[in-house]
Amino acid sequence: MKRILFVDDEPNILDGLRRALRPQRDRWQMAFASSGPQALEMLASESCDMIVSDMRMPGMDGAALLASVCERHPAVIRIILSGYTDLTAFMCAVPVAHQFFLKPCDPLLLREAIDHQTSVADRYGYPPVAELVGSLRALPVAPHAYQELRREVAESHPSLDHLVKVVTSDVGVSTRALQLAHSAFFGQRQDIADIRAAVARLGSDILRHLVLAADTLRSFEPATAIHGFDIDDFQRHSHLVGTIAERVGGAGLQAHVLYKAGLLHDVGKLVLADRAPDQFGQAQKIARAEGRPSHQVEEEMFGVSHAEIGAYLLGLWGLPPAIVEAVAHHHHPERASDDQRPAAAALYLADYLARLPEAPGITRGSEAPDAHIVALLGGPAMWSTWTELALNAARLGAQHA
Amino acid sequence: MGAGIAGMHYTGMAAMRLSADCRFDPMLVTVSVVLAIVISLVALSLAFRVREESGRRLWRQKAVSAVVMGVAIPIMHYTGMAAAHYTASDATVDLSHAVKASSLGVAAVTLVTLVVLALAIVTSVFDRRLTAQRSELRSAEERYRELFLRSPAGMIRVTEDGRILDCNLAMARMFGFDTREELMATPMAERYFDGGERDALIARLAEQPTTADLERRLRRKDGSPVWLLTTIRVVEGRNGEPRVFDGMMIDISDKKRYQIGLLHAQKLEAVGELAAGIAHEINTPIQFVSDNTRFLQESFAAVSQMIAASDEVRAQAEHGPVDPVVLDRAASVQLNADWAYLQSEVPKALDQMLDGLGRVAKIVRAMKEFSHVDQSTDMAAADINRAIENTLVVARNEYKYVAVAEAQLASDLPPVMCHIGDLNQVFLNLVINAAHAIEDVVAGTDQLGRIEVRTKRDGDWVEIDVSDTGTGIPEAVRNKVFDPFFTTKGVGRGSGQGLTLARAIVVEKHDGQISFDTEVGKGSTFRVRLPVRGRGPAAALAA
Repeated sequence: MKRILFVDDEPNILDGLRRALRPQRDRWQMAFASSGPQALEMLASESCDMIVSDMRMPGMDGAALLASVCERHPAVIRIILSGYTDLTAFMCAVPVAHQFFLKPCDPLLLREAIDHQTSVADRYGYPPVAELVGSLRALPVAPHAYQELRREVAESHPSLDHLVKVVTSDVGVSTRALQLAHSAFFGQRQDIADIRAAVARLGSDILRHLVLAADTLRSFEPATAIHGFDIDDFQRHSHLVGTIAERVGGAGLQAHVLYKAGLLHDVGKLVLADRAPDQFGQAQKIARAEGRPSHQVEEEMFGVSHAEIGAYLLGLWGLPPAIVEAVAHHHHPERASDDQRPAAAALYLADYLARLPEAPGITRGSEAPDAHIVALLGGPAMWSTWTELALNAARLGAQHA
Repeated sequence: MGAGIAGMHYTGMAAMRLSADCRFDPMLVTVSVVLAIVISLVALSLAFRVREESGRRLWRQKAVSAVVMGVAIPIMHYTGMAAAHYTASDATVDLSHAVKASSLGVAAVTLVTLVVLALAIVTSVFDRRLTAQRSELRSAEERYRELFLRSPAGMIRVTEDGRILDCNLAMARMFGFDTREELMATPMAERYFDGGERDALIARLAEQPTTADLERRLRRKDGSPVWLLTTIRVVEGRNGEPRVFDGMMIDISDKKRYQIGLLHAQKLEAVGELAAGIAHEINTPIQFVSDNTRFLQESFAAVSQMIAASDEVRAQAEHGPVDPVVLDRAASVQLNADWAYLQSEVPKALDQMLDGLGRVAKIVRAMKEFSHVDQSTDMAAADINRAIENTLVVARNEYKYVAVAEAQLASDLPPVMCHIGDLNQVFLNLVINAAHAIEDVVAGTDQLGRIEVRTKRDGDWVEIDVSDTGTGIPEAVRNKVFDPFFTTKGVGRGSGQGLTLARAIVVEKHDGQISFDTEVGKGSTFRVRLPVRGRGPAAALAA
């Protein structure tokens, strides 16, 4: 039974939701609050899984309420359901809301979205992870990308090409851009083919807000260096995995989905670097010392690895399930459901191939590429093609950098 | 001149006292006189022609005429002398009437000669100056006429009864005519859209003989309007002639169009700012109407099942005892359908849906009336109370989170001649300002301020007060509130043009008044006063 709290200052809205969502009553326990303070009181006395709040309310508005919830009950999934289309108000809610729905919103769509969110939470929202991800407000961005973005959006006529280039170069910015571009705030929900489409949909105005005003992105400058984590290496690797995954492909897989999944496959590491830098560094240190893959150590420390953490974040932010699942299982494609496995396998392989040029001849611990997975993507015959592809991609990437 | 010379010569001859007998040859006398006249004529005509000339040529020609004149005298003299024949006689010279040319006499003759010479010079100088003045006068008149005719500003002289006495080409062109004559052939009354306007102008001129910078909307030949910036002066007729009006006009139609466009842009901007709030006000009811509709749709499916089950029971009951299985099924269908819940909720859902639809309709109607674009530039009678109500509906989202708004509208408020679309703008600005002032007080608290809008009649005026319980206006900025671009609001809350625009609309367009009363910490009241009959005649001209 999921407990969901709806908050709106308009009683008719709460009544309408109560009635429209009544068919869910055997799976959801619904609570209703007419103001922010009342919602916080109810949360304090009985925890819940999700809060769906209006934006404009007298006294405490939706953004302020969700900010308090983020602080006091970080594990609660936070959704805005608002009829207010003012951009500034929307930007205030971006750091603290996981998803946005615009009134009028078909109750069927809302039901579906809530179901999707709760199922993501069920699969990946292992409690400490839920708190970790839930307390995240701003995604870390590589300092030089951040500077460049600030410079570009400050231009009176930013060039789309350049913006796309900067956004693509950074995993944090890309993730945020994809989240917002997929959000219902910008109209009908639809699949965003690539980063360019996401940037074009948001427009330079929103990007300017994202970068300059709202607490949605921040330059990654940790007080003490995190052992084994370099933000620039991280960006380079993510980019390489995206490029390789897109080309490794596989039957029935969409290249652009693979590219995005590849680019975002390690976004969980950004969450860890931001929310738990010490433990994350510790895990890297142990992994290196013991010659084990880091995700194994993370699983021991956090219960899950950066893969699930990233998947949980992407799921909460409403990215398409194909990407979420591929990211979640990129170390263990065998755990993915049958229809999601090829994409996870492609990521797995791309991740493996991307490390070849970095450390030629050294395989990562116990992780020799699984014959089963290799078979899934075309068999050992493809091996030489793949390695060449990986080396080319790495060379190209290095040239670009 | 010739006769003078001849007369002088022969008189001089007659005055001589000689002991000789003097005879004249009549032929030569006649010739000498004719010569004197002819050469004088040539000399004088040369001299007069020379007067028109100037520069170096003048002196050469003058010299020529002087020579000619100089020649006339000796020629005449010697011809005359040739005509005289003396025969010696011993007749005693009669000296009884002779004078002796004493030295005194010589002096007197010299003096007189000099005086005559001086007089001649003075006369010639005066004559010269007079001629110069006359030609100057003529050329000045031509110059001013030229200035009048060719001036890019329109100039016109009109009689009180509306005949156009004179005008220039620019004036004719402004009114859409090709020539001055065409315009002058039409009466001035044809240039007005409303004849009363001209009467009002004449009445105004009776009090104030010069009126400058009037902005008037007049009528072109093809009936289209032209905006003219006009200065008019009354010229009182001399010697009992009727007085006339001299006008100078500049075409400001382009500027006017720009101004109107600016006003329109401001209005669009305000509507744009309201759009997010209005969307919210509409989206909220649509959300719960659609939630409830979905609920009713699913409820109806459940009720249909219930009725199908109960039909089955009834069908069986008509033919004997009902199968307990069927009865059980009917009971479970009813339980699944959640009938008790539907029974209590469906009527409420329907009520709320109707309420929601009513709210949407109300907002849409208020929106439509609020964004009314004044169809013509003429004023029309409008209900100010209704305008206030509409304003409060469309702006509701802008204040409802910080204040409650209350309208105390006088039931005896007369319709006011006005541009209601523009006044809506004024009321909106005042209400939004009130909301912002209150927001600064209540932000971060759960208190609500209060906005009161009152209307009342005061004789020929209608008064609209907008009061708030906001911050009040600090002493230091009180005299700046109507200044363009003056704002104390943060970025994104106002461009500082709201009150400037409000004043322009109330004072300049409606001949009304706008003022405020404020106390720091307690709030402000803005008061708009509008004449019920619209603008007075003076203002009618100004707009």
